[in-house]
Amino acid sequence: MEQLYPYLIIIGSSILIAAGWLLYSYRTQILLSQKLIRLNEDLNYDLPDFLRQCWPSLKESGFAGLSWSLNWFGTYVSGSNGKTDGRMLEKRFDVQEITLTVRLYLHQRSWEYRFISSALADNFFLLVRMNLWVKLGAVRSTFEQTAKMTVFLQHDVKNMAQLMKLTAEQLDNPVPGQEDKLIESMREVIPAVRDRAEHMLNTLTNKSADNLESSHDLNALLEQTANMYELPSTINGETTTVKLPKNNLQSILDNILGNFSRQANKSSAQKPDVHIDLEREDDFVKVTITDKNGAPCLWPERLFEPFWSEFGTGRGIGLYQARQHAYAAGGSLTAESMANTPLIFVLKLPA
Amino acid sequence: MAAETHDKLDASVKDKGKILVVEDDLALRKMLFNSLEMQGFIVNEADNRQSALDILQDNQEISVVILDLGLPPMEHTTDEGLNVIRQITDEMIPVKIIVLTGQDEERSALEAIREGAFDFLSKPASFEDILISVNRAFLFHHNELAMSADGVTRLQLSTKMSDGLKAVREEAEEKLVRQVLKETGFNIYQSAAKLGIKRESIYYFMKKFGISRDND
Repeated sequence: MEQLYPYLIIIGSSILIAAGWLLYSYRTQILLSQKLIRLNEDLNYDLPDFLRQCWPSLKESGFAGLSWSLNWFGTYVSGSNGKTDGRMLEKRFDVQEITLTVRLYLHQRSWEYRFISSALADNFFLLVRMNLWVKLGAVRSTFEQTAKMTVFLQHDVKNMAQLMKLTAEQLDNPVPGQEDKLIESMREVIPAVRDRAEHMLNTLTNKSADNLESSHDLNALLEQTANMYELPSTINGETTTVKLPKNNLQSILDNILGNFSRQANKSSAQKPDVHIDLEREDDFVKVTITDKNGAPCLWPERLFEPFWSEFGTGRGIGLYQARQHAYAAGGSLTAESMANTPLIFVLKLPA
Repeated sequence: MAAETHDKLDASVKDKGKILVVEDDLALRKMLFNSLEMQGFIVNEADNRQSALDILQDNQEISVVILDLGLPPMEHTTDEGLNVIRQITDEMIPVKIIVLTGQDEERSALEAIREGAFDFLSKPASFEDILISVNRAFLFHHNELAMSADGVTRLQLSTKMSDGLKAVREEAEEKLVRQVLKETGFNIYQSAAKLGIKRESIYYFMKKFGISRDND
């Protein structure tokens, strides 16, 4: 037995050394992964920049080479570093207007190196995929904003054009005997035109008087919006005003009540019976909105998720946007959902 | 040119003509109001759906409504304007609706006409075009009143052809029964006589289409 001791010591030491080495390698790979993540953050998740600058970290991780070819919104770019032949890991990404093929070349090494390299490669590919979706999300959001601005311009500029056209025609061709009335009419209309033009300019430059803390009659807007959706509603609580831009307030109420309206249309089992309770809490107004005849919400966790909609017609951004507006004003918008009870929205807005 | 159009208008129609302008833009509403008033029309104004419907209920002499589809609280969509048209047709208020809007023309025009609008003008429209449309609306309105006095009722149906004859017949039946009941103040005897059917049939149709005195 004693003769075996040296062998046992050698075997035990070898196991310890191997385990230590594996742990060291694993830790090194984690640090290199973190380095890649930090690089990606520093580059603001920009995919082309990341592909151009990731090679030093990958080389440090033990990769032999990198090559990529990218179709970036119609423009083809490519790059390569290190040795680009031999064993490789290849991934292809094809998302809307972006296509990317990326190859990572491996050294001829032992299985443990290959195992660690493939784990790191997975992290790298994950970062690439994330950058793709971040870019597409940003593009989509910009288009949403542009679409909103276009709709605004379409409505307001066409009104302005209509007004100018009518004014010019009236001045060019006044009704005989009505000249004094025309001048009187202009006195009334021109200040309103000035106000409208200022409003447009302020909205375009994001300096709307609306952005100032103007107060709005919450009860009236709630009633008006419920009527618009033809929702039978009861408003309890004293008349109150809230301070936030009117457009944002309208958007919040429209999205909450619109949600109840769509739910009611979907089920059509019972007529909706919307109850709205207003309660003053220090400097805030708490608004609790529920449809007593409504069905329980099946996807409570999805309510405020952007681009998720259970209705085919929606873009899935309404409630998300409503929540953003409420938080921007210093308030909040939450939903309470319990099994077998109708959904309750709780909105807090500055009074 | 506008004055020429003005001259062409039937003076008796125009002097008595009552118009409602529904527009949320104060400046444009005032301009339309004054321009039409200078042409001899009696003009009412509203800046949202509810006040428009209230005015129409209180002023049954109004024959023509000039309507902007983008009304508060949803100025940048056509929803609220279309709701106005829908409510006017549902409540069978005898007016001609001229849509004057800057919203996405083709789609809005189709929807507005489907809901029962008489005409569609896209902003910016010339005053001459507005006057021509108003003139036509008055003419149609007066003709329909005259036809109604002779016992002829004009119905507007918006059923899809693909739904078949049955759907068309049912929509026509419902509209006709609703209209006659409204005209007779829900007098079942008079309605039955006017439609040439038995009183039991009136009750049958009321049950079938969910018509009750309260909701009409």
